[in-house]
Amino acid sequence: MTKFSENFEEALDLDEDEIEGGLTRDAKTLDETDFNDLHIRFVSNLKVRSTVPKVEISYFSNSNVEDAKGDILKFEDGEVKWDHAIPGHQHPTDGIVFLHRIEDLRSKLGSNDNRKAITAAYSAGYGLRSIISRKLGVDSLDIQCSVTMSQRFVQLIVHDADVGGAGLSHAVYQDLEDFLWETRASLDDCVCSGFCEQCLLLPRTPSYIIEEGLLNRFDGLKFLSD
Amino acid sequence: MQTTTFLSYFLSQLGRDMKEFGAGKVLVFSNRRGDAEGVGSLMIKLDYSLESERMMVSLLEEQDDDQFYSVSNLREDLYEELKEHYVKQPYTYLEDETLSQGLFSQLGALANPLDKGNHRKLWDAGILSVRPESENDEINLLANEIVKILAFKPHTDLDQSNSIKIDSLKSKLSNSVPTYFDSAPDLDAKLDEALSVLEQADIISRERERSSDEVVTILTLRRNFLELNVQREARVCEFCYSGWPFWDRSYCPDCGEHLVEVDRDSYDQVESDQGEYSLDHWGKVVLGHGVDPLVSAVHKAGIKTDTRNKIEEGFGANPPKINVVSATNTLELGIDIGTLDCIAGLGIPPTKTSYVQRAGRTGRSLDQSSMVFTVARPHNAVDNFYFEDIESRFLNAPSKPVQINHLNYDILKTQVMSEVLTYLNLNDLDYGRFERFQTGQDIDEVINEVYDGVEALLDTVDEHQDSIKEHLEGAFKSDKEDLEQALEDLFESPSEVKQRVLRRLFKFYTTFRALENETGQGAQGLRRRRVIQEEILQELEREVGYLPMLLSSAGMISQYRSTEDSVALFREKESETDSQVHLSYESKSVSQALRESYPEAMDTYGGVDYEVVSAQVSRDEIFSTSVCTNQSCTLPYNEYPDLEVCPLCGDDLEEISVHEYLGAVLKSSRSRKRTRPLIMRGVDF
Repeated sequence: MTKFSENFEEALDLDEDEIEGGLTRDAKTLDETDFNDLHIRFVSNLKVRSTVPKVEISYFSNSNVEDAKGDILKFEDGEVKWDHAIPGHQHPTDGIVFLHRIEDLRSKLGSNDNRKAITAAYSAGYGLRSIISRKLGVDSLDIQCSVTMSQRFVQLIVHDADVGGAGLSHAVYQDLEDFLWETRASLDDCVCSGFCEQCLLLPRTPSYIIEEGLLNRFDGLKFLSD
Repeated sequence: MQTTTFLSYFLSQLGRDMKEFGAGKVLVFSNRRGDAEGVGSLMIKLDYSLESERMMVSLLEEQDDDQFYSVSNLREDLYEELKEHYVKQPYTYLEDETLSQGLFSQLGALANPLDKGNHRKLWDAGILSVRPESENDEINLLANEIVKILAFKPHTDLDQSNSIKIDSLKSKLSNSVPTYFDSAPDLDAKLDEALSVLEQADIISRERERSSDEVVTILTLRRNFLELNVQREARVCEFCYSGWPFWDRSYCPDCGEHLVEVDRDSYDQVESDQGEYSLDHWGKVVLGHGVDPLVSAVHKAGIKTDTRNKIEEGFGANPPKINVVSATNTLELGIDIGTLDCIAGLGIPPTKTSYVQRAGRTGRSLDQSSMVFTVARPHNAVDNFYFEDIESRFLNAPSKPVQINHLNYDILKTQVMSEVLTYLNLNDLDYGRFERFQTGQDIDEVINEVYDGVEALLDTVDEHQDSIKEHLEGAFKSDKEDLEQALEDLFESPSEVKQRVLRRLFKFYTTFRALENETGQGAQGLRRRRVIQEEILQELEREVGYLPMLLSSAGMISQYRSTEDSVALFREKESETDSQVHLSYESKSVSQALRESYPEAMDTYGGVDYEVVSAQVSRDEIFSTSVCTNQSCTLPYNEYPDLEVCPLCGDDLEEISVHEYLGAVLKSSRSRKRTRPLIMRGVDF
């Protein structure tokens, strides 16, 4: 029987397949559809990524931002050699990807400001999370969203928070139109001036989302409309 | 002032009041683990330090004319007393090495009257001083100043602490001392006199050393012979608040401002132009009350069962052994902690249900009123939003419904895993062979045992495949195909069970190897120091010596919320008492560990600050992406995989290559460094 640790060097030089293989699964688009100006995909094995690229270090009132240096242990000719890289991790989960063409969104919002486009996507995401948690009877923290931009699209991903997925986004995708119409209605019918806990504000919303004004029900509504 | 600091001061006082007027129990809830840990640690830092000062003063005042306390003796007696009050009484017998070592080391520092961080203020306020050795008070004052410099001021010119070159001492004194005396040129003579008085009393030693061309005189403080005095009367400066024993003039020797004579036995306020105020606040706080220790603890996820039980037991007792508990929502429901006087909340709770649960922990007795208060953090946008209209947005808002998650394939797999183990156990298929591994004397042995045990598990499942399948079909209503797929994924080559267990061991090994490097000890060296080996082995045995636990930490059996992978953290701490290095091993979920133990991070555990000295990452990149590193951008550190410039601020994006985080080595630290991780979160497909 193979010993796991004949010695340290062998343990660290384990065949990569034995350590990583089979655990990183490829993302798979299971279905696609359209809703108004949105192109929507249901994807399994999305990669949720988290990393700490920089660290802010302060001594009393002085502070500066430095690279986060994780150590890589290497053995060369029986000696330990150090190398550095940024630490992070990723895990698979299921989710729904919403793609909106930037040009179309700009004309709907009446502004070329990318910040407004991002606000629209975040607001639609938070509105949808709120409706999902109400309709499925789950905690809004169990479903998360993420916004980014590419050359042509503003991309909103609404995904299960749990590692491996918890079946929530699958349930949402089954009745996607209902969820989207209800989100639109909730954003449209609300009486607040921009956002409130009835439409967009969720427990543990990160402070920067509110401070930077990235929640606005009117912009969110436009993201989901014709 | 930071909210946690404010809350810690406030809770100290509240805890004391409650001891007097109620059951003596205060529970504080925080929404985040870090906040609970912060409030708890600050409570310990502030309150234990204050009480140690009161105990120190009372010990010193008990001394009679024949038997004086030297710094070393005082430290020993005080340490025993602190241990009795803060560890032995509340916890009786505590198995959690990390927590008890953390507390012991902190108490060790608090017991030292010359500890710079904790007790310097006693000397600055003139509450503690040296015993007068001369008839002349000017000489006594100078001797006191010399001891303060030797004990507290940093001496960069020499390596050893409590030593200084005589020239450096003179230059440090000359900053303020000329104002001490009417005739400054006299200083050298008086300094010599003060030094010889101290030397005669064996408080300092004078040595001559040759350094390059010149001979230098080095003064060293001898703690064993330094005897201390408590000053009930002193002159305190109205401007800089320094206290001056052995000084009878009307101006401050340091800043020249007016001095006021204070009597610390009376609680009188000082009259001034701005009205009445307590000029000598610190003196009154320390000398105005008797000893009144308040025990506080942190209750959160991730602490050991033993510690958790002790805290609940101590807090639940009547009268309580622990007075203030800082908790996350771990104490929100399900645990009976009896009558509480007060519930405090840091931040608006995440949901109204959670608020009702927290508040419901108190107010259980009709004849006694209780208090519930919530601190809305001024810098928190979400708290501010609710606080603006707390009635309609929070208190009177309808509650959110209960949560139920739906099953999916990954969850099914963890259920199948549990069911297979149950089957093997019930049918006596040599389950004992791989349920508990012989952990042996050596880390290599442990790892090999586990490896062999997992192979044996796979072989057994293979042998009884058909009957297991039959059992599963009876146990689950799921699709037959799904069940077979789950079984194949878990146990057939490449078996996910084997891969994930190997991954745990791999992470452990990599980080352990980094630890050897950090401590400058090879594996052989660490092995020789049995104490270290045993401490890690004990922890490791708990985690990998028992198959269900091992599979759970590898994400193969569903824990409460998630099947997330864990990483290995090693904490290294030098004991204050026996100068041994103690090590503990902790396994933590990868996302939480990355948030708290990233490179350079300062992390608090059991009231002790730790610094990450090495964060381990895999050799291979797991992904690379482009992020905006402009801190003033609307979304700093957001990722844009397909772009070159940030669409929000127009700055060039930075391409980063990310490697998998495997674990970290942490060392206890007194550094004043503070760190904040700049986190990137994203989703890719």
